[in-house]
Amino acid sequence: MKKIIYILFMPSMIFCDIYQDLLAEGNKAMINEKYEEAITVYESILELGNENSDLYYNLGNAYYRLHYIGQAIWAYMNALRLNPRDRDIYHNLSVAKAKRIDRIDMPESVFILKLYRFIKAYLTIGEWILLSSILVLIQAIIGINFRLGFQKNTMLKIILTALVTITISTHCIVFDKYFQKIQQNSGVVIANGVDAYSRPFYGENTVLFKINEGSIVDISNIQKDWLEIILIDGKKGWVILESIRALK
Amino acid sequence: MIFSQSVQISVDKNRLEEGDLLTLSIEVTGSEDFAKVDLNPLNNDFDILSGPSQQTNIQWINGSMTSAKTLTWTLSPKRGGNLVIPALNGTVGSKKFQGKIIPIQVAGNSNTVDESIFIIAELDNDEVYLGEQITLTYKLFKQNNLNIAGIDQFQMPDFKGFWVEELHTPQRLQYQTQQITLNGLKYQVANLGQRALFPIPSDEHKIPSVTVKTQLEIKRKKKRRDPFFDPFFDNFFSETQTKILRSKEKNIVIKTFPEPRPFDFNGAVGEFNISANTDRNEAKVNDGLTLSILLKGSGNLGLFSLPEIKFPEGIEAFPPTENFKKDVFRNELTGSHVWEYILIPRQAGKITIPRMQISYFNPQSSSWVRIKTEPLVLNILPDNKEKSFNSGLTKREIKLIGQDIRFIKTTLKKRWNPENYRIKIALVIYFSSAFIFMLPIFLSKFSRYRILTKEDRKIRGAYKTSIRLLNKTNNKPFDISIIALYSFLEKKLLLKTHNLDPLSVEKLLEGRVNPQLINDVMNIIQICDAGKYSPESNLKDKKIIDEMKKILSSLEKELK
Repeated sequence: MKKIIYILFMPSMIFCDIYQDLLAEGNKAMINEKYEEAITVYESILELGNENSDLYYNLGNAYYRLHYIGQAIWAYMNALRLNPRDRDIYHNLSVAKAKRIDRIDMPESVFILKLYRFIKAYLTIGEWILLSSILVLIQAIIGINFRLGFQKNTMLKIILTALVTITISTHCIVFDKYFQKIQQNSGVVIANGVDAYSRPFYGENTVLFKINEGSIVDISNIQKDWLEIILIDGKKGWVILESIRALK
Repeated sequence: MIFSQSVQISVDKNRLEEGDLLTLSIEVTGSEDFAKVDLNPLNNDFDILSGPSQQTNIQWINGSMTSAKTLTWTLSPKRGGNLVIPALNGTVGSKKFQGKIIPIQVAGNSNTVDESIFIIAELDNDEVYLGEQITLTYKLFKQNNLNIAGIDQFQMPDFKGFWVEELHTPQRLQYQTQQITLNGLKYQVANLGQRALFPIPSDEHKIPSVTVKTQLEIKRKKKRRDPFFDPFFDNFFSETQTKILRSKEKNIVIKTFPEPRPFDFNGAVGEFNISANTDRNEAKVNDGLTLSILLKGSGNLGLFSLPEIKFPEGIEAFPPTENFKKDVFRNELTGSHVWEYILIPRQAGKITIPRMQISYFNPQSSSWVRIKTEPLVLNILPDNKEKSFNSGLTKREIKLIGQDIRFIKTTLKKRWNPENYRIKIALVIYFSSAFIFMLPIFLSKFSRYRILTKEDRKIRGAYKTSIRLLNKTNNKPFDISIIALYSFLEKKLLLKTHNLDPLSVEKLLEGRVNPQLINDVMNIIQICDAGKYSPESNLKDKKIIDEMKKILSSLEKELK
């Protein structure tokens, strides 16, 4: 068993030192106010396929200092995805959001829906899976206990029923989150005054609306160099690919 | 008598050479007024050098009077080829008239430059960034043997799309001491004027062509030697010829700045230094201080402004006074720009004036450079008068002055790719819980060790519990032994009944164990039953328990 764990986690253990050094280098540049340099270092770590919430958080700070509000919001959103209970990330994200030009408000929703969204967002998808697996493990232990008949009392039975219900609901949340992740591609606008056209090409084309840096949009379609975006309030239009950075 | 009124538009010649002049005249007969004409359509092809000059002719013929009023302009064609004087519209008195189109043929290709005298607009650079300096020099080239009798005052054109700084304006025509040889011909060169141009955002950036009217001396061909017209007199009576010199129009290509632009770039191009200082570092509350920010360097100084300074709370700043000193040095515009703020501290303590930063573009190295001042720390002493009032403890809540993002995280303890890590752990847990659930099946399959179910445990525990029962010291050994035997049999054979009797025991054991053992069992049951009620059996109690143990152990062996 120990060997299996060891083999599973070996690669991440070997490489983490290099990335840790890179991150430290980026942080040094941040402290010396060389934000452009810090951004290149941080982005290079991301390009190598590594992420963590601190990296995104620091990257967001660097972008914010250089007034790239869209990029900063993108980075903070990613940080929040990996670490949804961090107060600092929340704070910085709200400061960056306050600097946006556009303010598209989310439509108000019912209390229960809000509560569900809060619970869903409280843990990351990985944490939800982890929680579900631990619940399953507890149930397996209790179940084997029943089967061998060591203990059999009503209290344990009630606990087991409750656990089964909770496990089913956590798995539901996991699937909800997972399908949301697959179906819904979100992105952040990283350029100012982006024209949204009615069709994915230049030429005789109508500008439907203009969208500014920092707005969060849904990406519904991709056509070569163009993206079809949907705003929270339902507006749809085509923008050029470079003006949106997709959230992971 | 009513005079017929007529308007005639004419030119003195319609075939001419480039550099020649043209006279346009508009003659009105039969009117008291001069014509009023809109000459704007001419500007495409011609320069109006002079005019209008007015001329009035009155003639009496056979007692009737004709008056002709003529306006004349001197025009210079801008280029060679077939030009046209367009139909001119105008009014005479209250009547309108429209002229005819007059074609003009200008001989000479525009490419051939008159080599004896010409002017050029010299640019040091024709591909620049917005805000980068271009030095423009108008130069007059003239061959040695040519004499200029007179030249009009040189007028700088309007430079559209540029911000212009004067570098040099000569008071009179002065030739440089060094002669320049072009195409094997020696030229004298005179500087007509020098300007520093800084492109500003605009649709087009063009250096317009300029024209200069010159009077050239024409040397008359030497006639035969005449004692009365010797060369000395020639100089006095030389003829002059008017010549229009024209410089070519030039286009400036504007290069785009390399991306990304720094956020604090506000148009500065060149090379600059910034510094800030206050007149003193210590002041009392309500005492004025002067903060001066000095921007020195060469480039488009004066074309951009300083970013707004966010002064800390507790200090009051008045709008700055600006002072720009130009210092023309060679061809580059250098100078210093000073902003002076008057600061009045309102609170005692250490006050830090934040640093100012500005990014500029260096066209030499095509790179962005950020310059910044050092933050200044001012020590503000409390005002003596106010001190007495403020000596009491005054508590203030921490006021949120501005909103800014929080500092970066530097702990470096976060795991990389936590989501993958969590999912991996979850997978391990899922598999291990499945494994735990399957454990009994695996164990019984591979080690032939049956995992105990409840019944199993009952069967296996039967012997142990009965022996335990027998080991208890009791004053009723026969009762205990019989109970131990029955409970052993119940558990071992999983009987539902609790009322065993000797007969049913015999039936149960028949076939399962050998007859000898059945006999022994039946015997001991009988002894026990009998012993229960016989008073002297107390002596045998130890014996019966040992015997029972033996029987139970042999039953345990047989009933496997």
